[in-house]
Amino acid sequence: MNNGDVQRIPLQIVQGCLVASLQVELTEEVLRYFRKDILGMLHTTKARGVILDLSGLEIIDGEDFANLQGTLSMAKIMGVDTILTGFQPGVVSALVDLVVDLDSINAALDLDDALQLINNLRPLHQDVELLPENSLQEKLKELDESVEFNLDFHQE
Amino acid sequence: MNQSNSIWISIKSESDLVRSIVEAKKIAQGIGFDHNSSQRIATAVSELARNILKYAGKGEVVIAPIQEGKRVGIQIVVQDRGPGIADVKQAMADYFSSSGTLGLGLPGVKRMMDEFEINSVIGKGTKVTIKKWR
Repeated sequence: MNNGDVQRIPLQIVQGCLVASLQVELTEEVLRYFRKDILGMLHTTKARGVILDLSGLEIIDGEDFANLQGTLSMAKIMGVDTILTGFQPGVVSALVDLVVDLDSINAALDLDDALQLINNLRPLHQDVELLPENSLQEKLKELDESVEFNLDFHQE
Repeated sequence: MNQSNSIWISIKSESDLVRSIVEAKKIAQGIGFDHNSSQRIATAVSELARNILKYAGKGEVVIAPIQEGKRVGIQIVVQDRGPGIADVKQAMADYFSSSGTLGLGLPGVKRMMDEFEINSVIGKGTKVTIKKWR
């Protein structure tokens, strides 16, 4: 599959946490690569948490949210805490109307809060690999070249 | 109030879905809905247009400003010539799903809007009309 023209969600490491800033329109393809990138990065960087910054998203429908939740459950199984931050009020009220399961998520008002919450959930330990930013891009490239793994997630 | 025109969007791919969401938000804001309401309206359109892609393959979305006496609002018609819904009543119940994850999202859409009407005929297709008054 050609993955050159899919918009990728930018990832950074902040205080040992993988922080993803979602700014682009969510399509199935974007979400698929996002899942692959997040899980691959967790595997290689040993980050202690995942924070999704949703402040750039105007619209999240039930399907998008279920997909993101799937990715977060997988991250959780890998052993990290996951936090959603930056929900816009209109997005939250729509999600509540759609009765998506919001109880199982950790949320924080902003990134500072989210990092604080991660600190409480999982105190920083010494062996977290704090990567400089450019090596993150290197790792992403390595991931792309590695064998495609199937991360489709179906909830019956 | 800014004049907004109605728009007809053919839904065949995910990019059409994205376009219908963007247009719905734009038109809602043009009618004078606040940011939150516009987001909710656009989310409702997203849910319905996604059903087209998932179950019917293709269809159409018509978004239009409406007026009734003094009140103004937005009307969205989402229709397809897909397989139709066998049991509409069941589809309108929460936590019903016929394929995969989430069901049709119809009860959620109904909650987000002021008026909701669904017509579905097996083998002919489904038409959902939703309205929200400002």
